[in-house]
Amino acid sequence: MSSAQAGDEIRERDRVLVEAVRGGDREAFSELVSHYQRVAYSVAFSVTGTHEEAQDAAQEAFVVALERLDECRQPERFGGWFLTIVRTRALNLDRRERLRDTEALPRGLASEVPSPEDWAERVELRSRLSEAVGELSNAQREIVLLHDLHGWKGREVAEHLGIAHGTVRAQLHAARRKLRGILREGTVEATVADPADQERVI
Amino acid sequence: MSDEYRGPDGARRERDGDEPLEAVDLGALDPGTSDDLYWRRFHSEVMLAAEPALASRRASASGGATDRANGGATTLGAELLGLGRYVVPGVAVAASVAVMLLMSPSPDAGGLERALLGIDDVLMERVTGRAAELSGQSDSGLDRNTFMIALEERRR
Repeated sequence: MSSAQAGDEIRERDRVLVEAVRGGDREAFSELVSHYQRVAYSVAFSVTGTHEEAQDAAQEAFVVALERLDECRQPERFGGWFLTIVRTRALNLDRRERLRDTEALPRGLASEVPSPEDWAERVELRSRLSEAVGELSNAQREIVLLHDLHGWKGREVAEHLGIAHGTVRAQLHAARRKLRGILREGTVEATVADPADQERVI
Repeated sequence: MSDEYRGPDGARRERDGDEPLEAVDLGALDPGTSDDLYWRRFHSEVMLAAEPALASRRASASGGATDRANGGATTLGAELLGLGRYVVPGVAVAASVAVMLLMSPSPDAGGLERALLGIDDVLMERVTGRAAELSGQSDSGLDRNTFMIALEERRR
């Protein structure tokens, strides 16, 4: 399938879902959340630089988007409109008590607890990556997270950010170079991966 | 080498082909990599927070559907227009009647007096006829005095 066809399918999917959500369709909204929760988190993280604030901003952005859905004049362009809300929400975020409350979750959703060693390693790696990503400019951060963390294509990133594809590629190149430089200076080696090897399924 | 790879959201994606440099694996920044149920919890929390807004939208949608089904007006302007359909013809009819009454010739005083006298005569004729029956006399030749005498006798 060509990227143009994939883009058309996503736009048509979003249009249908947004129209349904306008009528209060819970399942349609659930589907929209599933599609955009990771990218919303990434965009929020690119602004806030911390997990907690990114989480708060992304979750609140979904509710704000739902309340303002009638202002989305082009339902097929929901993604770009929504990410603008996420970005604004993250920028204006007043730090509040985290929405996350594991006790309120349905039974059976408790995560598998990693070993202390694994946990420590993950925390350190995340900390290193967060610091490195934090050294990037806002635009570079958003581009590299959308592209390298969530696998969005350059054209998709360009479309959602409203910038030229060439600009995305240039910024991505600069961001990767900077990240590699920062991580090489550190004591913890971060994996340098070829996108072709990315088979992560979360 | 494949032209596609699977992104973290599970979707198969094409590579750009001439991507600049190698990507740094940022997977550790995804909360889902260290917490396998993170995104399910995230999703549940969003749905929970969104429930009031969704319910409000459902209520609005069902209310609008009911109005449309009943053919009812949904705005003040529409309500006024609907009301006007009944008020305006009523006012026009009332005005027409008023104009007709004003334009028609008024009855002269003599005519009215004749009409009233005619009624009085009819009444008196009925009463005197009844009095004649009571007094045992015929109606012919019965005068007012005879009538009054007959009433007095009846009272006694």
